Amino acid sequence: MLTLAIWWACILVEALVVFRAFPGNLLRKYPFFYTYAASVLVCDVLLYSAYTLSPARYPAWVWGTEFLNILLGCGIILEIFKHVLSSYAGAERFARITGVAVFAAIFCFGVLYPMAPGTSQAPSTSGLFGRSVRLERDLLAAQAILFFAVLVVISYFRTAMGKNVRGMILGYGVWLGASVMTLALRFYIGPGFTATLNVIQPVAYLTALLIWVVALWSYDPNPAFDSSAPVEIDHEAVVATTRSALEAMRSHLSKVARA
Amino acid sequence: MIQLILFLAIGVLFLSSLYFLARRTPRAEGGSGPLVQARQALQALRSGLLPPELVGRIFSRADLDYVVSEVPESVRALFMKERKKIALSWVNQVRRQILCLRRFYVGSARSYARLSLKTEIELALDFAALLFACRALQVVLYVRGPFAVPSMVESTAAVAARVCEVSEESLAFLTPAKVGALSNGSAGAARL
Repeated sequence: MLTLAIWWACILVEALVVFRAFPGNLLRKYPFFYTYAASVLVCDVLLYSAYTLSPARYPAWVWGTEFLNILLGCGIILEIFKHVLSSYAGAERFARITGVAVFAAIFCFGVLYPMAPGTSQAPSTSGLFGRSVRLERDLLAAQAILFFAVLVVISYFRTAMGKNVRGMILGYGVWLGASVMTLALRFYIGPGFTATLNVIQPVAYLTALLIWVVALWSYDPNPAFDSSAPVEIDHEAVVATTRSALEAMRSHLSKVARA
Repeated sequence: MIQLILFLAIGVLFLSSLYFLARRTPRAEGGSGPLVQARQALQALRSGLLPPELVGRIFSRADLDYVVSEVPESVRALFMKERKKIALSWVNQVRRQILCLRRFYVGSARSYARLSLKTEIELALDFAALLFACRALQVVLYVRGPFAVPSMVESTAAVAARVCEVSEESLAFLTPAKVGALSNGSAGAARL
């Protein structure tokens, strides 16, 4: 009953998130995010219909829609690049290279790890359900790592971020972090954890939706970058001098450590 | 089990990064603000925080010897408490000024289209190491008192002074007249 109540609440709030996109013209500003939001709304309505009308088909529909929405969730990273990083050429370049490097590392790990000796399959991986849990967990973890790398770049370069994009990241992040951890526990503990998983994941998702409703109630553009510094800064010179300063400092610290 | 720990660590790390994202101010510094602040930080470090006589005075062993030999226990305890507070405050100020310099550097880097990933990572790690050293010094001062690590204090101060010297060169194009003009501009912008 609790799970069903959360489900209804989620559908209502999803509809509200999508509905609020029209008055403020947010749909045109954040097309990737609203494609994702509309997709989860349609999928949830379809799944609810399947659950009530044809329960036998429900499990197969769940996995199909889950993977579609995980893929569309990557649209939030595209929104970050479009709205947060595009004004900062250096930070954008850094984030792009970092993203590619992280993706390559995850891909290599995903290919090489199963080949390593001693990596046996847990008993809970057997069957379609177990394999799906594993795949979903791995995909969400890869997404979380990619998100984490982009967030580190944003924090390091102290780039400006409006309420809308901030809310998108926080909302999706709460659900993503909670999902990675609960799926890992479900994979390790086995079917005994499924009941807990079925409560934690929807609650995290409802929290994400509430964050989106508040953050995306109206359009809040990203703060414009003030590039009106009256003095041109030669970044190469700043790099060279900062580097020599830090090298001097490091040698001093080494001496201290040896003393 | 290793897999479980790995995935839980990813989740915790990711949620922590969200927490820091939620806490930070949404506006980025732009324009002349960081430049003026960096210049002021350098001046504060050079004239107010790092002169050897000041550092020597705060961590002077002679003061301790005098207090130990000449004054009662209660006064000695009060002296130690106050000196520790001053020493911690000094390290905190140095750290804040270094953070200010880093903010200026990052402000310069984020808009530079030909940024080198390797250089940026190296510099970020170097700044992090220096800030960590300041934090370590704070911990040592807090635990063992201001007179336990004189060599570490002297070295850190010398290192910070060297950084100031080099950073000053990188900001040499910003003459005092320009700093004044920029400060007025910032104040005007703030009033608007």
